[in-house]
This record gives sequence, C-alpha cells and structure tokens, in this order.
Amino acid sequence: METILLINGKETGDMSKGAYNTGLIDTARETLKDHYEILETVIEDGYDAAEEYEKFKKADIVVYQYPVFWFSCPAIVKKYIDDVYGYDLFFGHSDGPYGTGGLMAGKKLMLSTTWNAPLTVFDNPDSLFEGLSFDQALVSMKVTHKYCGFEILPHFHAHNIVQAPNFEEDSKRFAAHLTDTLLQPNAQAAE
Amino acid sequence: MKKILVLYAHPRPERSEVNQVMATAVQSLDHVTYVDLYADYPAFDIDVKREQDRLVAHDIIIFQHPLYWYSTPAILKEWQDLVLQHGFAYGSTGRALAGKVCMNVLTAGAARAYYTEGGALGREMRDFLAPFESMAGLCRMHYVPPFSLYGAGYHADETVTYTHAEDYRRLLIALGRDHFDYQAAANVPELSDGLDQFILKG
Repeated sequence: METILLINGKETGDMSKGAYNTGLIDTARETLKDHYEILETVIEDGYDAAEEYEKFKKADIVVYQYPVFWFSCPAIVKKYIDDVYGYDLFFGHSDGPYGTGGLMAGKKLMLSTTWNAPLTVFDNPDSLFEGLSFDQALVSMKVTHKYCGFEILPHFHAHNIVQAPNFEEDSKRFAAHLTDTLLQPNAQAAE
Repeated sequence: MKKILVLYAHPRPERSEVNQVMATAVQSLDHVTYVDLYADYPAFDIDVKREQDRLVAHDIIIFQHPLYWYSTPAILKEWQDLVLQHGFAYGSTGRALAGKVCMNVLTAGAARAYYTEGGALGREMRDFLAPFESMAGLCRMHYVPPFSLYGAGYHADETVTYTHAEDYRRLLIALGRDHFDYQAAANVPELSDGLDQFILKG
C-alpha cells in the first residue's frame, strides 16, 4: 500500500477560519483511506522539522491543501517549507544541470487551493489582473517541488469561497479529482 | 525627495555578505527608512498598526530579500498577510496605498541565464514575482520590475557585489528625486540588465 501525506496549510485569522480547507482535507482522507496509508500534518498545530522529513521520506504522494493569500501560500506554509526543505534532505549537490539535485525523485505532489477570487478574473485582459494567468500564483510552489525531484500532479482549485461558498459541490469535485488522479488504473499522469 | 521604505527580510543576515554591503550602501540616505523585519519581529509578532503607519508615511516601498524557494522568506509573506488588511490596502474603502510605488530588490543564487524562457527555470524572475505584481494591482500601487543580483551564492564576486550595491544606491537616489523613467521600465523583465536606461539625467 502506498502512502499519502496530507498537509493542511490553513492559517486561522480574522478573515479565514480554516474550516473550508479542513473540510477538504476530510474529503481527501475519506476518499483515499481504503487505498493508501494516510499521514497528516496540520502546520498551524506545530511541527518538528526532522519528523516532517521522515513523513516526506515515507510518502509516495504529498497533497498540500491551503487557502491562497496574496496570490501565494499563507506565511506559515512558506515558513514550513523554509524550515523543513533542507539541504541534503530535499535537495543536494548535483554535477548535472541546474535542478537535477532533487532527493525526492519518484514522489508526486498535488496542490489543492481555495480562492476568494472567481476563476473568471484570470486570463482575462479586462480584469484587475490584466490577463494574469491563474497558474502564475502557483509557479513558486511548482518549481520548488520540481527542484526537489517531485512530479507535479494535476491541481485542484475551489473559487469564490468567501462570497459564494458551495462546500458540498467543491467537496464532490475534489473527491472526483482525487479519484481520477489517484485511484484509477494508469492514473497519476503528471501535468 | 520621495520617501522610500526598505523592508529587508533575511532570516540569517550575518550569512549574507551581499545584503550587508547593499544595506550599507543605502542606509545613510536621508530619504530612506531601512527596516530589518527579522530583527524587529524575531517571533513573527508583527505590529500591524506600526507597519501600516510606516507604509502611509512613505511613497515608495522596496521589498529587499534573498529569493527563498522562488519566493520571499516567510516573514515577508507574514507581513503581507497581516499588514495589508481589507479596508486599508484594498477593498472599496481601502485606499491607503493607492498611487504608491513598490518593487522587489533581491538576491538569487542561480545565474541570470537560468531565469529566462529558454533557461533552466523557463521564466524570468519577474514571473516568479507575479504575486507581488498582482498585489500591487489590487492595492492600486504602481509596480516596478525587480532589481536582482544573480549568482549571489557563497562565491559571489566582490567587485560584482560592490558594483551592484552602488547601483542600488543610484536607483534609490533616482527614485527619490523622481528621476526614474517608469514608462521605459514598465515592461522589462529585470532592471539590473541595464539600470542606466531608466535613470533620467538632470
């Protein structure tokens, strides 16, 4: 049985209580528990960098669930990565070309993000973001994990979750995304 | 002179000779306020009111940092998450930052050539900083492309470092005097490719 590490990157504050993201983690656990051994981290509850490394070593697949703050991950997720992704653990020296020293090769990463912004404001020259592509907010996370050797799985995203939340629908879509990506024979094709 | 706020974020500043040289080059300028975020908030206990007051009191905001995992060190993200509140920085009544200028001044370990469409990373530094450009848009600020020092690892060349620090000083003086060609700079990927193109004489 393969192992999945579910990382809950919620950061609780006045405007964000973390319930949506915790709910989607519950969806992932329910969907995957009969097929994978599940490891979990809730960053906000605290962590030990060495223990986290052991979880990553054991995991075949890592799923990050977080709300997008300022077109990026919450600060605690960035701090977690700065703290945990150490030299000689996640990446090492390579005599090959740049980006070939990743020590997490063979593992896969899935990002699942929640947004207040509706999908229609992206790739739209008339919107506030002047054509900004939705993927640009994820570039740093994707390249970070590629650098460490991960394959990147298709991304899941839920929108408009503050102004017009529909958790039931998003949870169903997430379960279907996980099923398509991780539970079908010959699934797990990278992006 | 326009007033410039430098928000410096380096978790281990004693290990960055380059950033120390850059700090020394600009700290003495009268129109520059230099804030060391990790020194002020070692436990990430950011004083939101104090930071908002600092923003209001300045015209140009510079985020100075090393590139950490193709992004900023965590404290700068925390600063964004906490300080840029709805009703202050954005939203229908949040106009405190409207019309101000912001940009990233950063150091990166990998070579300039890697940060190109055909390079190892497949995109420009400016593309990695797209979240800042979007932030500027939402806060009605004017975004200036990054001013980066590449190859800033342990073996950084001393001459390159000092030349870059001197260019940083010239940039902040030009911005302060409003001798900066915002229009010419608007669409370039990187200011350090040719800083003199953007500094107006006079």
